[in-house]
Amino acid sequence: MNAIVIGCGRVGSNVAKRLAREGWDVVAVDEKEEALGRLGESWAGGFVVGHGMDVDVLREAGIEQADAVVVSTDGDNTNLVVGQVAQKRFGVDRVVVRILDPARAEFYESRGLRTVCPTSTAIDTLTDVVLAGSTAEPAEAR
Amino acid sequence: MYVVVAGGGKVGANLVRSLIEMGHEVTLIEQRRDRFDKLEQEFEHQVQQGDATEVFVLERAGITRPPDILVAATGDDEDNIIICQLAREKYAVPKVIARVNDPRNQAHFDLLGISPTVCATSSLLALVEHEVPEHELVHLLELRKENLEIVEVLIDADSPCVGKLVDRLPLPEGSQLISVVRNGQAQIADGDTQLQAGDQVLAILQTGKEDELRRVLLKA
Repeated sequence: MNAIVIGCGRVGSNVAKRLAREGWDVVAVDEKEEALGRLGESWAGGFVVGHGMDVDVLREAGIEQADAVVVSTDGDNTNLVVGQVAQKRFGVDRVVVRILDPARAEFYESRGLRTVCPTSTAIDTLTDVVLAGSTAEPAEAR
Repeated sequence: MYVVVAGGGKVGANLVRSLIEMGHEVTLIEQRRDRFDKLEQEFEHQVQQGDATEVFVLERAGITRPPDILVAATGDDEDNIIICQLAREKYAVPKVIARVNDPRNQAHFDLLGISPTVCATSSLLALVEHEVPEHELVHLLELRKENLEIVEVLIDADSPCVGKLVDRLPLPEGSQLISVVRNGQAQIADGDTQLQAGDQVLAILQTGKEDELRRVLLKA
């Protein structure tokens, strides 16, 4: 199975490494060549330097054969556009994008783009811990 | 009309100034603090600070009314695409117009159905091409919504249409010649116009008919 991970920062690089460990053929894409270093010295997958908005870069990364595309650059709007391009232009079935703004994540999710919003997760978890009161304290703190 | 303009750079600010002069109601949204401070001196309450891809910023600017037109004129194509999608699909703004900064991103706007778009670089390029003597087929105008384009074709001596009457040309369906410029003189092309080498022909055609037209007017 082939996957492309666009945006090879803290999130993208670890997604790429985990997918590779699970036996996927992974190509990572990042604007900065230094991002390759995040994948570790033993990285055996592909790496393309370029911007996800650039269709030539997507093709070089093998989007026409990709089974899955993960979009996790640091720009919400870039992720939303690149995700839609992967879905609508290249017909990739499994596209998932990381979106930090909960409002945009919710809207695009409702339009059929799979989104993951770490901000929403943080809000829920932080609130839940507070509301759960003392039972949420770690055992050793008692 | 009520118009929301996103992006207060040169394009957005000049657009807003003109719209206000014409008597329209306008809200301009600018993200950068330094730019906003300057714009506020000129436009006062008609400019708001914020990221126009954030829904609360759009809502504060009155997007829920909704405006008659939204113009996405920021210097960032991804932002312009998202602003237009939110305006049209979340807030039912009846008309959105987008600025394209990098012509390579035009395909993304088209893919996502964002139209009309304006790209200064593409327009300039077409005008430069128009001046190049060896050009064969130049796009002068694209009417995206109407699915039509106007092109200019330079007829050379090898062209299969030289010496033929326009009536006799096997022009593709969905295309028509508009005018012929010969020795600096323009004339409307009708059925009796006979084409000559050196003619500059304007044609209107449906998008996608370009290759067929090329085969009729230029070398096969």
